Amino acid sequence: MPVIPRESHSQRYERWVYLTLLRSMANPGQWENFPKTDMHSPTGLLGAFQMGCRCLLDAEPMIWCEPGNSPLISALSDLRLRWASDPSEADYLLLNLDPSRIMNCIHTLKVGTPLYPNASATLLIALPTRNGSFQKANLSGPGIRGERIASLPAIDGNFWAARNTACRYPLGWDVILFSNEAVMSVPRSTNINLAQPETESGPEPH
Amino acid sequence: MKCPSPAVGERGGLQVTLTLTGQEDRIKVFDQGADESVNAANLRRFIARMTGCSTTTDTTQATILQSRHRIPEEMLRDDQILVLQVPDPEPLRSVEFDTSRAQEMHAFKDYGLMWLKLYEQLVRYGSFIQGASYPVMVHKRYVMSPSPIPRWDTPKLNQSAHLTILCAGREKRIYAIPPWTDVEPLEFSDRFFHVEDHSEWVCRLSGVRHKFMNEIPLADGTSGFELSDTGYLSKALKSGSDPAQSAGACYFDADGHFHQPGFLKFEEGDARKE
Repeated sequence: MPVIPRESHSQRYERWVYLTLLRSMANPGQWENFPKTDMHSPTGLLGAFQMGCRCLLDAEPMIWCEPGNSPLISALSDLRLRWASDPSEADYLLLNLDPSRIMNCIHTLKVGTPLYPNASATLLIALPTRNGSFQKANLSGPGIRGERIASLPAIDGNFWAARNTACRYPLGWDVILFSNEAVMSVPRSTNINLAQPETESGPEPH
Repeated sequence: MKCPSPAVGERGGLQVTLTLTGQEDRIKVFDQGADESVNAANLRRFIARMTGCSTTTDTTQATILQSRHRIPEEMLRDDQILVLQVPDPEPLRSVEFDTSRAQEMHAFKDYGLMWLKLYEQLVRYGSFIQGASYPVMVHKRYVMSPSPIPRWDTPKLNQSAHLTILCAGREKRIYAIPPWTDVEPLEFSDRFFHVEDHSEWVCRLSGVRHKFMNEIPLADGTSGFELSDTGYLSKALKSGSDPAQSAGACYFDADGHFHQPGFLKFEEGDARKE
């Protein structure tokens, strides 16, 4: 009799996280909730961020993490990641303490080349508070039917404007935002129209 | 892990499907429209045994659909994922055999040779003769092979609600079309892409018209026609010749009109002009 493999609880949860990230990339600007499960899994902001990182990262790409973020680095230590010393070298940037720290070097992040547009940076950003400021924007492009009005987290006054400057499809970088229990993606193919520059404060839009 | 499947064909779609599928899923596998073919039945049984998922032949009931060379007649929803098996993912292969050079052509949106190929077809034959894998422009940037689906299925990819994942296992290449993405068949401003004209063909089993048909040679030397999508055929048989009673909305309606008015264009004087 052949041995039929069965999915363990942890494998099932990892697959659900992967599907959530897949749906999030396919539907830019829309929060996708991570699956709820009874199994033991990391919870809270660091937990959701960790699960996303574990799903996307391995020993191949170069990773940059904010200096002093030892809890995250130790939580991912078993992945044997390759750490970059400078954000401009990184394929993935992990930002969960203060994403605005990246602003002074944001123009140096990898955007790929016409021959290898995939050789670009992906920013994994954990939103530090549940009740932060949000900036209204009109999104359009693949994954969006017509236009979508989204509330983008106001990471820094110039972050989304800098992102628009960097993204000239197919060049540019992709942004994946994590909250406690959900994820939102803004791939480079998404057009962001920051028609209303004023920011709004309010509860996290779920 | 080495995938326990043959060294040719199906591996790409199978790997993607096995990655996505779990016990909570209901999977439909079909081959050239047929759920009952040996290929489709074996893959469906294999996926169900490996993942514990349930199976269906009903397009509307499936959460993940793995297909070889067809897209169902019924419209897919935004909560469904379509996995297409791809034997040759490089749309420029017929005009540029060197893969590195083809990559450069993609990088600089240099699709002149592809346009020339289509123009030569018009000059020699009076129409575009490519029956399957008709090249499409995605997001007005990249020419893509939609896998060897018939021309009938090609417009179904435009602004579709579902996520499409295409995978070529032999070449280790994977690509995807997000929902609501522009996927336009290549055509000239005065000579347009057309789907196969099956308007005069009637399914001999169900009486349905204006869907993609298989041509069946008959003993008397003539041809009969049957619906290619057997899932849709079974619904048509249950409900008489009016499958609208049991089937979901279709990409092409009962009169053969595509669900996105104006997307398929016709030359002046063409009887099919909407």
